[in-house]
Amino acid sequence: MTESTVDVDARTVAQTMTRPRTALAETWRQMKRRWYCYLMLSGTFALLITFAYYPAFSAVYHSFTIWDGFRPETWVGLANYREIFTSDTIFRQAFVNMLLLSTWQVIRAGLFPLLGAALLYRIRSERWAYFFRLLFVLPIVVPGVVGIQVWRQLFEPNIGLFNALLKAFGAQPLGWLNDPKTALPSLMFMGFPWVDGVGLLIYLAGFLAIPIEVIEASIVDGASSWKRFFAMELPLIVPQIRLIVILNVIGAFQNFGWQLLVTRGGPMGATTVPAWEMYHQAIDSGRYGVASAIGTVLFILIFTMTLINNVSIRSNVEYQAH
Amino acid sequence: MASTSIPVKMKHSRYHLGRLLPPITLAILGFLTFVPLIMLLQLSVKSEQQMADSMWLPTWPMRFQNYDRASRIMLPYMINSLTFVVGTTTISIFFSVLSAYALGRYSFPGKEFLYMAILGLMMIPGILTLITRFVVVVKLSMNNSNWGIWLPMAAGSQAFQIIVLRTFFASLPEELFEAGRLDGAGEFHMLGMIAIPLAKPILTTLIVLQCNGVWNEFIWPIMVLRDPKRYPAILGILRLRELMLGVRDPGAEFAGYVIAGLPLLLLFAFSSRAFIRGLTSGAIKM
Repeated sequence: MTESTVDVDARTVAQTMTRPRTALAETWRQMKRRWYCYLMLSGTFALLITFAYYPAFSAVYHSFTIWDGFRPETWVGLANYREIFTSDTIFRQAFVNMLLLSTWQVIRAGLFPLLGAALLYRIRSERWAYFFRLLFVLPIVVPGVVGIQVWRQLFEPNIGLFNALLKAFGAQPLGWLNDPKTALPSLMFMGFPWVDGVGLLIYLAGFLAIPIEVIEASIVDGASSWKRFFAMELPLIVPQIRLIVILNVIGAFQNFGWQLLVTRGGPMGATTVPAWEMYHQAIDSGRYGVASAIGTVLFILIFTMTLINNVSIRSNVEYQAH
Repeated sequence: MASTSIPVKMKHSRYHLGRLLPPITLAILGFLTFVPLIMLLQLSVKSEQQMADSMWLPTWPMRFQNYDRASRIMLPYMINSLTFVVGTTTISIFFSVLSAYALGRYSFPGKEFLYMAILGLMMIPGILTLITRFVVVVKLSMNNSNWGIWLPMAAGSQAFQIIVLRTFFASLPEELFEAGRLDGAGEFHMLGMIAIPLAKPILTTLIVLQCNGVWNEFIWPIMVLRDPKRYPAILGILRLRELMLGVRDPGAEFAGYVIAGLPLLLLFAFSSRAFIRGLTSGAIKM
């Protein structure tokens, strides 16, 4: 009896010894056969390891340290996060501003291009539809910095267009970006009337994908244009709305162009956002640890948003399938 | 009789109003959208005196010499931008085509893991790595050089490009490659002779999208380029005032803004379809 168990043991040991060895050898053989695949991927991964994976790990790791970016860091646990969330600093203001700006970004990017696309969808003449589409798409090619510079001129308190208009109508001129009370609303006003070309094209593609029979049927039924919009078109472009919302939330969380080029977060912190504070803490104050912690917080927020979005898309698809 | 004719008439007029409402609203929205651009254009052909007289209404004569002056100052910055665009796009398309081809056409050990490692990057926002990426570039002594722009920006677009191209390469029928293999073509040869020519429309879209992205990028160049002489055009316009050496000429500054945007307008004019396809394909872009 003991002999046979030993025998079985010996056999299984032998099996487990040889099986992985042959599997390993087989893998190795296949790797040698496809050596050029690894060669093809090597450039990409050299780039990604250096400029994506390593910086990502470095940012998360250094968020727990005091670090000037170049000399060795000191581990401080959660101190940076505590500073961001509990101390009564500029960071609270930054996150409040980010919340306001991104909420508004979602509303404006969700609503106004939708209005434009719904109207465009109702233009019967092909030539006019083309003209209007071009009209809204063309401003996409204006570089962001040029847009900021031009709007800055329009906001200018002394010679700007908006104060010239206010004076012409006998109203009090405003401080716009120079006044802590109006600075953030001014940033929100930029881009008026907010019919973003990219969003409009995404919505329009959604409208054009609606089967023509569906629309015809509703016209035969005598549904008005408004009713048709709310009862048929809107429910059918929910995927486009979702896409635009998530893209704009992610974009708004990371955007700090105005702060970098014009406001520096001021006046008196009125326009500051976490992304700008991150840049400012690292580049201007050499506090790379705090900056990494802000970056990590933004990463977690964006990651959570994306996950929620993905999960809700999946459940939506399942619902449709049933 | 009267009771029936009135509703018909009302319905008739509402029908007309309903047809006119969309174009009128769109025209108003379109005009308002263009107000800043119209203002930029009229400011760019004004003298300082004309601006003092009437800042926001057009004046005559138009001073087109503003563009002369601005273009002379902008030229080196435009060349910088072109260098960044061409270098970044070449490097990134070269590597993403190779990677996408390997992942799309072959099976080899570790393929799933490597593809997931690329897909996973779509979940990492640029803001997380901005600061530490800068530290890496400084440690590699790439700051203030073209490499500091080219390599990190090429790395930043790898994931999106590879995902798009891999899907395309994987969809190509195997017979195309069987024929090539029978003719004794090597794997790299088939990529160049069969796969790339077929991928031309997708490659155009990716290239146009990346040209647009690199031309417009300003945060990364501000961080990496210490010497403002190396700035791209989009940052050069912020220095126009100091570059005019004390001679105030705000009209030429505005002309400079227009000039910095012109190459993108040209790109759009020549490839509007690819341009639009690229910008609206944001579904998997972060």
